Amino acid sequence: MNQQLKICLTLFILLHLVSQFSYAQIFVSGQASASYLQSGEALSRYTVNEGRGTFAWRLDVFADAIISENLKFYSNIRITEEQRLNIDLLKLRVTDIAGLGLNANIGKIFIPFGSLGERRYPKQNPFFHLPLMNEHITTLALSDYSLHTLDPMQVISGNGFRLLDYGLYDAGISLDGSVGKIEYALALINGAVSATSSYTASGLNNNQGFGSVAHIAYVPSEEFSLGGSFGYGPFISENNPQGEDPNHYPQRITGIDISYSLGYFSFFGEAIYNNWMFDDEPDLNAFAYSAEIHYTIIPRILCAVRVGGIRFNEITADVYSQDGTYGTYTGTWDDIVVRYETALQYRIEKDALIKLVYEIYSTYGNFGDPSDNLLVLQTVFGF
Amino acid sequence: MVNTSFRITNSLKKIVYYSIFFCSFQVTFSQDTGKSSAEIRGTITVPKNNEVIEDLYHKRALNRYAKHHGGVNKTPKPYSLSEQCVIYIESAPQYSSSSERQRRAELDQSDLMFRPLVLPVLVGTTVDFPNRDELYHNVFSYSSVKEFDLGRYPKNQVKSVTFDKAGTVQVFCDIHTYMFATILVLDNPWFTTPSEDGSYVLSNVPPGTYQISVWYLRKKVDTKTVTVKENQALVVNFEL
Ligand SMILES: [Cu+2]
Repeated sequence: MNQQLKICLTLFILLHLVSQFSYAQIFVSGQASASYLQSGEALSRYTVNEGRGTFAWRLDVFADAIISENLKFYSNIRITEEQRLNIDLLKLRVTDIAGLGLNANIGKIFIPFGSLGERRYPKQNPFFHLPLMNEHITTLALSDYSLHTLDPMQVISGNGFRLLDYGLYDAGISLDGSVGKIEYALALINGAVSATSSYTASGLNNNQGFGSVAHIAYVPSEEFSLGGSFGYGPFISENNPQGEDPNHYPQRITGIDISYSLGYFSFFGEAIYNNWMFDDEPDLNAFAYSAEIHYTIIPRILCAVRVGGIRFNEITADVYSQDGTYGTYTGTWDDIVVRYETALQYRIEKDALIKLVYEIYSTYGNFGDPSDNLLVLQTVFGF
Repeated sequence: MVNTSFRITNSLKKIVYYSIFFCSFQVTFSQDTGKSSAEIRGTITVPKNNEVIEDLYHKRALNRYAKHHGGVNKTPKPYSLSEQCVIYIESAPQYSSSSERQRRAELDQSDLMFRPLVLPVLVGTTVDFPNRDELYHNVFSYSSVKEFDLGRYPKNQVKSVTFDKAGTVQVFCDIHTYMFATILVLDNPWFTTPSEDGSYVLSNVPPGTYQISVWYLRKKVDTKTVTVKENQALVVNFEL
């Protein structure tokens, strides 16, 4: 609560300062969504409220301002049913520096990795979740960088790294622009893209040092884009329990993304290869992919399907069993998972919609394939 | 009816468009309306209002996902009075269309704006939606008068919609949510847009009592009940 109060106060002061500029006028907009979720009942990181039907909500508020022709201010606040307040975005954007078409962002910025774009918001995302690669919580613990491959409760409690951190925001600076048919974005952020400040309990980054991220896309025409992303940075904290140098523990992540959109049809595909590197132990690797199609059948009605999955490399490790004995574990360090999603969306009005989403999870791992499919009914309202 | 066609050249398009437009309205006024000879004329005085253009400027400049930045920082070219104001007779029961000629009109998408802001058309008119920007637009409307979604299409492509029911159609772009226009589908041909000095003329109006309305920017702003007699030139001024 104290943390939230500080965030609110900081934001208030910032907005006030921005509004002091002579030309600045703050434009407030946002999205509110409410959902009903019904998942399977099994013990799984994907079930919601142990399978009891649950209502959830989310509110995104955007407050933006034009300070001068080439200087703008952007902010996003996201609040969810957990009463957690996140400042996703809080940045100044300088456009067209020295007439070169180069733009710079500073503050809490979008991390330029992949092509998620506007699909991070409920109104532009026909599904309920983001792609699995943004949300899947792995068995690599955020708290102490240990593996909990055989301890599902740790993962269910949320103590695990994501490959890409949720909506991908972090404190840092970035540059973007385009040269001919090439669009580029480069960023220097706090630590790695898998652990940004949005989601640690303290609200602060739990990783140290600078991470670098780049995205380059070839955009030959308006409908098609082919992009490549790269990210490198330390993923552990300076205050790690083992007293290790964070620079010896980098995350290296590469990705490609393709998008195609014409008429009533859109396709978005993305694949990433992620590598968490350990100083004296084998790396933890993961390969994740996601492909989605949206199609507007008739005015107001859109259907969408998405398939996404993650595979992990095999490791051999000493394990400590509950009966007090040590043994050796050989296998993937997390359960291989594939998620299939179908969605049907009805636009009630321009800024109001309702969607029905069904998610099927197929898990291949140490605990079988639990019953954890999810049905979601969501309404979204933009203002 | 929604259909797609590609324009061959801009100049050819203009020739085709203007000739059809010219012919159809000449026919409408001289033949469909028969021997009526009354006229309603006047002046519209509007306060200086940059609200729409300023809103457009801010929203498109602040679009955080704008892929192409060209033009976005520039102040949009303001709408002329004729692009944002329409004077029309609400309902004229004595009017019946005998012309089977297809009427056409155009709602332009250029510089991330619709032009005009309000487009009056006679019921039955086919409106072309040409994309003149270097980027995609996705024109749609969920109005009860006409529901359509033209999908995403690139520069120089045109899609068309025929409006066969009278009423108000609010038009948006699904990609640029700040883009907005209104199509007034009217059941009679007695509508016009004012000149830049605010003057307007409705010619060949049959004698009768009418509700005459003014649409300005995003809404109907005034309605007056008037009675016009044979051979009369009735003056009706509006001060908004
Ligand atoms: Cu558009």
